[in-house]
Amino acid sequence: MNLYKLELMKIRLSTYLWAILGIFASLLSIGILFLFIFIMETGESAGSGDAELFADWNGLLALTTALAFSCFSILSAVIAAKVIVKEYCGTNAVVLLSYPVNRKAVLGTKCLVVSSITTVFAFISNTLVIGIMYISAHIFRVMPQMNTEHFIFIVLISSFLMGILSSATGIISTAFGWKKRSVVVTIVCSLLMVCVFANCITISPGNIVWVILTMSVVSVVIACVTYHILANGIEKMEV
Amino acid sequence: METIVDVNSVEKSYGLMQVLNRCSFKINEGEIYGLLGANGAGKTTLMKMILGLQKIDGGSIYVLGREVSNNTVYLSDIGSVIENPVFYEHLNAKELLSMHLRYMQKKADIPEILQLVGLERVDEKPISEYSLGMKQRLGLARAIIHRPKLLILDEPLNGLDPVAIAQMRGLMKKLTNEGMSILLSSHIIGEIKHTADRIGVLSGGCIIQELICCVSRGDTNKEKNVCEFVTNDEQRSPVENLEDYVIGLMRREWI
Repeated sequence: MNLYKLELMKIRLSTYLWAILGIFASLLSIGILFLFIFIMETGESAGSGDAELFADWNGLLALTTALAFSCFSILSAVIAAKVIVKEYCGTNAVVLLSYPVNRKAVLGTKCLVVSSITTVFAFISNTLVIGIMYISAHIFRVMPQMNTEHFIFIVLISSFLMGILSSATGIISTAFGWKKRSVVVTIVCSLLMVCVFANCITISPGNIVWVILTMSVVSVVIACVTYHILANGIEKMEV
Repeated sequence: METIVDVNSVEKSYGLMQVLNRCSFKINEGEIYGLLGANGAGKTTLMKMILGLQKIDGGSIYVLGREVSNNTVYLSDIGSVIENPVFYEHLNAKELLSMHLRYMQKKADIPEILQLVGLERVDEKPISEYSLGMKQRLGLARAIIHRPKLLILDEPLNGLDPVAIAQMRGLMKKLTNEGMSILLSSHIIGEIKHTADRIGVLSGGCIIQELICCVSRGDTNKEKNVCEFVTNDEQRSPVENLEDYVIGLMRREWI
């Protein structure tokens, strides 16, 4: 806990909180836009082609979750690049490695900081955005309603899994950034992963929980391997 | 007198280039050991090896009786300023020192240390607004705040004005009087000769000559920085002009 607080001290958290607020506002405005797309499409070709995704709540949930995943994965990579890659590959490494603290424990704490910030805020943001969309649609009667309790369950589960997937993406991209000693490589890597993963999320909107669960499990396993590789590298690191 | 650092036949290579070759020296308790060498002689590498930041290819280093290895416990008894000190620049001096103390798991009076290095008036300012000299002072404050037994200073007077240099020399002597040992490196002879009790000339990867200050600590002459050096061998030959002597030694080594 002490190490966790110390890591939080090192990063300017307010900058990231503003970024998260910006992501939330963007996601909300795009979510509301999705509702308008549904209204525009209902008289013409609702339920066909690309408009199919906007025609029911499963499609909207998949789209919004994919967008939230994209934003938070990149945010996760940015935080990871700052607290891991920049710290160990820059001049700060001399100070950091001169402390009488286990190197693996420090890296573990850094990964925990990245994961916790990403997962918590991705979960809150996605849940709120979909919640606001759902309430708006209910008030203005623009979308067909569905079983609220079941929907809430799906939203909570998929948002939480999306948060985990985002943080795992950030950690995985750190491995590449670490190898190249570059913050830019870390962020570009996460962008490339986002392109693939975000499309996967929208493949089957009806089974979104299972799709994200599968991706999360695989990503978490890869993230654990990444941590192990990083930890071994830092243990043997010379500065 | 207790041996604080025992560097024994240490070797280090970067690829094919051998930086240190059977380098040996000892630092005793309460002593300022000056490491003098040309740029690239291996001074910083040696200091980093003592801190466990660089692996040792051969030989051994003992700090406070413990062999330098993956064990990091001994690091809580070392303070260091290696190269240019780096900080988390959004923090202020108080926050930075408080964070450092928590890492070291020690307690200390932060305002007292800041006063000691002359930063008491800017302790609330973010470090990003500090000048180079102020950052050097803060680096030194961070190195000594947890009261280490060994202080490692790599060219600590870079960027300091003459008044600050005099203050730092006074501070170093005060710290050694309290029992702290200091390993000080520089490529500037004048910087070392006014401060060190013993000088190790590092050239060709090893200490080629050790010089001892022949005036004991606390002596009036030492306080006035007119310390005279003799060679650390059986002859105890006096060194008339330290600059010429050291340059001569290094040239001989290069040839």
